[in-house]
Amino acid sequence: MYSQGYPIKTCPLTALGVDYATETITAEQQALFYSDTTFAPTIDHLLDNFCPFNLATTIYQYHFYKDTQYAIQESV
Amino acid sequence: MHYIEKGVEVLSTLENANALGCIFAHKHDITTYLLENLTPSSYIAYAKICKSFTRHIMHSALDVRMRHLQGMSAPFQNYLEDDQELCDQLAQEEQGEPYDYSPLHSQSHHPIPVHHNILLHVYACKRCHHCHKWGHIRATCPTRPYHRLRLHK
Repeated sequence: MYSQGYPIKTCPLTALGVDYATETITAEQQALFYSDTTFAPTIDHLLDNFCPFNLATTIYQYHFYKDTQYAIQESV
Repeated sequence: MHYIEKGVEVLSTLENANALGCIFAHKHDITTYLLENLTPSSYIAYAKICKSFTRHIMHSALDVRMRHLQGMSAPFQNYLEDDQELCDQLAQEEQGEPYDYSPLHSQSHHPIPVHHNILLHVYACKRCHHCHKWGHIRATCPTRPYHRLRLHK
């Protein structure tokens, strides 16, 4: 069977830091990472087609945390 | 509270990875997709955010070497400067008022030739295979309008 007996190596999918100073993301710019904006399908299209998996995963993770946060706030 | 903290943590990771630079490296793809598939209002919302970011971007999402927006090619530079004008056009069209796309109106601001009813920004980084000028494609080249007439006959 394929890969039988071989060790499985995994690593967490997180965005890798760059070796230069980066700009602070403002509250307005954070809207780019929201999943409920009107242009969200475009960002999804970009992440699916052009971005590396680690960056896309991190942004989707941010979607999950924000959506969960808003869902809890609405239910309270 | 747990999810807020986690969200901030992930946002910090995105900041350190220059995620905005990664996204804006594909600014032309985003604009093309927005104008072709979504409503003008979504482009306006995106352009407002995009205008607030004027520092360094990456070569692409896979190549994290930095470049400055000033170092972009001429059509891209015009395309960035004309964002505000495009927003005005789209907002005016959304309100139901037809915008004047006449060449005289546009050529005063754009060095790129204007084709009737076609937004310049869609082809801003394309090069014509007929006249070899930037800003349009062969199908919309203003130097060969006879081509279309012949096709219709």
